[in-house]
Amino acid sequence: MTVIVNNSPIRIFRGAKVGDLLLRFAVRNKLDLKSVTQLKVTDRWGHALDNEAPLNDNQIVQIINS
Amino acid sequence: MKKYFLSIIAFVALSFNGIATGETVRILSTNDMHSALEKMPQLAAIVDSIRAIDPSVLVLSAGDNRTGNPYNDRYEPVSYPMIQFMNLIGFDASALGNHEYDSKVEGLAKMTALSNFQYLAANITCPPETGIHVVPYKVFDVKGVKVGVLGITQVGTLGIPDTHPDNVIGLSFQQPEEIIPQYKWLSEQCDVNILLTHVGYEVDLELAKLFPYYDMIVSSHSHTQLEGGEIHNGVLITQNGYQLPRVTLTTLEVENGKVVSKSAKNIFIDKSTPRADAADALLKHFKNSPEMERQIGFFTTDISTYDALGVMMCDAWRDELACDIAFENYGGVRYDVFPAGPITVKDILNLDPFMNTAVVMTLTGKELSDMLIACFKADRNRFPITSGCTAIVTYTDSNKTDIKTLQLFDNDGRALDMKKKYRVMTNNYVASICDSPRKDQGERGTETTSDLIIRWIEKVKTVDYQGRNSFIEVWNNH
Repeated sequence: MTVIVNNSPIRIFRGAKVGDLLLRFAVRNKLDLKSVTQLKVTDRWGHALDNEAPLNDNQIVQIINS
Repeated sequence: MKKYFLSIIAFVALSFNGIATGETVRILSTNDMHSALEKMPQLAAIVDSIRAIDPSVLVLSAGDNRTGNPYNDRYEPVSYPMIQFMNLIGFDASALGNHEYDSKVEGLAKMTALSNFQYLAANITCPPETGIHVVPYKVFDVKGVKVGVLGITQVGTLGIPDTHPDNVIGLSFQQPEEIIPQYKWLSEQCDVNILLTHVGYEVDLELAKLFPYYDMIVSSHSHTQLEGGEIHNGVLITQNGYQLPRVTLTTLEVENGKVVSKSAKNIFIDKSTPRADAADALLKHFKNSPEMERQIGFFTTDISTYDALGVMMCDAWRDELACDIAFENYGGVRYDVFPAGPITVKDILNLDPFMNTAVVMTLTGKELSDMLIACFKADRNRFPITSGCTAIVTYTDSNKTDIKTLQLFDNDGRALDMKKKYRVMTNNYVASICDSPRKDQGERGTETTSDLIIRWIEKVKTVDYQGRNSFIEVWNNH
């Protein structure tokens, strides 16, 4: 499935959760994997999502470095 | 505790708006508790405090009460600890979350039979022989006000909830927007109408658009943290993250059979929240679960390396999921020595403690090779442990800075066919950190990798992996 992160598509396995997406995002952006704890994920309306939140195909999220 | 109790009194008292002619309906709502056993004593204290002021408060869960803690999810009967807590706290109703189906129809039937509260889902059809006790709705009499609560369970793109298809054999589901209009008559008979849904915030926004005659949606599934509640198209929506960071207390003022005002506030659950003694005693009981000490097998020899333990774990996953190859990152093994002797459930939960689940993919030999190299790079230059294939890894230098060549062999010693497709399993952590090109990203399952190992050891009974390894490392400066 594809999740739209900060306006760019990231392909990831079906059933992925926010925590999985953060790891993929970190690797893709050459960030230290330990730094994912500094990243915050929000839905398209700006609500915080936790690492266990399920993701859907074509879901739009924002990842910001806090 | 006294100070906290007084603050709850103030909190609830403030929710009175001074209307003398109407009634106040209060709802305490939770969602996605996911086996948060440790927070149950605090939730019990909060509910007790509110009930001391308003005994008629409705306590609702929007589902996914289970899945997230082996002390609950491995209990037999499954999820008994959470159900006992919910019974003790006095929940009035729960929606069915997609994880309520994780122990198949039989598990759900047991859960519904043990619960003193009602499970609500209008868009599920359960044949009587399943033994699942679920009804579409329930009408509560709150101080003479008729409060109708209609339950909706999650239905994914496959037409079933997001769980393994085997878990819902014999059940059928309908999309929420198809079923909700069929209960318009219920909304006309009730003074207050609530949708108790497990469909996610985004779908709830659509439901609020389509069905504005509902006063409130107790939302769930997407783990969305709302600040209090949000009103969309006149419908109040509430939801709070994962494993009870907060609960929501909603106040509805009702006059002449209509809700005239609505407001919602979050109550945080943290270390400062008092705990109810009875629930604490229950927690202590469940944390001493005999399941954790249950012997599942026997190590005939010491296992004294990460590699050997990793190979055992990968063998277990490969076997349980009928894959050609399984692999995991070196850091996924949390023991370095495992002495000969009995193996318990707790041993395996400590060996593989991350609550990871399996991701199964169909990969060509080339895609697998690329993925193993990607894993090496992402896992601090440590080559992953494999089952179903062995590897000769040649590094560019003795510091293992980079892999120069990688040769993969099947269990018969033949070179892996780079064009052939293999069914490959790894855990969700590895599947996430390996950003190599592959056509099939795979699918994440719901059963934890530790549960797969436990099931495999129960099957094979004795385990001997001393000295096992899955790859040979070569340093080549030429």
